Amino acid sequence: MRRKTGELVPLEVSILEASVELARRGMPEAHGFLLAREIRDHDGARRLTAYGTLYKALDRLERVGYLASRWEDPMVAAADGRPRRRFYHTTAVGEQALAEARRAVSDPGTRRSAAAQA
Amino acid sequence: MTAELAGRLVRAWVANYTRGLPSDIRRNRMDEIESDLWSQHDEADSTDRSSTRVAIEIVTRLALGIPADLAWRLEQGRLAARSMERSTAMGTKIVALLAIIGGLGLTVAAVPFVSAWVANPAAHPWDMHTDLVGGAVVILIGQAALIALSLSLGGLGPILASRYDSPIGIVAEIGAFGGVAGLLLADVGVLGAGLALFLLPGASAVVVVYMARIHAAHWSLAVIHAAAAAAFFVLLPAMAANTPIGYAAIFILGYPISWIAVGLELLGGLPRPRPAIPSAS
Repeated sequence: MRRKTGELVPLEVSILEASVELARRGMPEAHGFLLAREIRDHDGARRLTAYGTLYKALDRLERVGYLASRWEDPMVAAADGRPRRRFYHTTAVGEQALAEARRAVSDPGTRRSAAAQA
Repeated sequence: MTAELAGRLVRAWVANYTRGLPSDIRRNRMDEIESDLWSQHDEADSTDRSSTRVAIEIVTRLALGIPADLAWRLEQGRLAARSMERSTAMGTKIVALLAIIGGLGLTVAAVPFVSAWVANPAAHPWDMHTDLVGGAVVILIGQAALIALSLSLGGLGPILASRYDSPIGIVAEIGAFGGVAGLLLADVGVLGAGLALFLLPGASAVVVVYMARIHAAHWSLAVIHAAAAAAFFVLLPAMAANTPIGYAAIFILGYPISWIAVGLELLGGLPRPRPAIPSAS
């Protein structure tokens, strides 16, 4: 079944939560690996999110406007002796979507009644 | 397995599934994975994990993400095809019209035979009687249609070669030559010349699959066309051996009908070639 444009799956919620949490700790932007590591550490998981799963989810979150990204200046990356990074940050719309997703999880009845009204 | 080898495996997989995508999308995905691999190695170095353990982690991440990679690739392909800029040159229009005319002609020529087989599945191909004049007209239409399809394929060859710098143009020329030469030589009674006709469906299948790869045709059309061409290789020898082919004769119609669809796709124009980017390996 095709899901609605703004609907979030658990991994996408985890990505937004990781991004918001990192921003709260003073990292307003985070690259893919950092987000994967944050999700692993937060969830106490044994392994990092798979490459394909992680970057497909990041791509979708950016297309729906919940995340925005920018590529790092290649000169900075070259000076550090590593490949350039793509940095993501959660947008205001993304924060709102995350808050709604959290509300829906904590109060599933709200979602059901909203769906019934629609 | 070492972590280095596992990293190479990931790079090869990314280079493979992103092939054919617009260069900016491909480059972004490759760079993002490269950065991730670097960070994963960096983290492993700082925690003093063994190379084998890191390799297992990398391969696991790769394997578990393959379904998502494939889903992403299909989605990107669809988006790229939708946003692709197309252009129609006069040559492409002529090739398209020849494909449509040839496809229609071959369909018209094949329908009486196919309907006769469907009506009597046990009939042998050469036992089917058609009236002399009607039969001659149908055969003439069929031959003219095969020439039109051969010319269409022959015209497509130089277009693909010059526009996309692709050697697939040679395959198209071989198919076109087989179609025309096979037909003409068989008409004057050269033994075995009819076999050259098989080059036409074989080459057209390869060319249409290539067209799908460059977003000039839908993959579903390429699959149908290739399957119909493959059916030719099974059904025509059966016909030549006077074997009843029954309802399977319907598959013969798939080939000319898919040619009509190819012509319609070509009328919409061919995508403008995008600059190639170097391979990751």
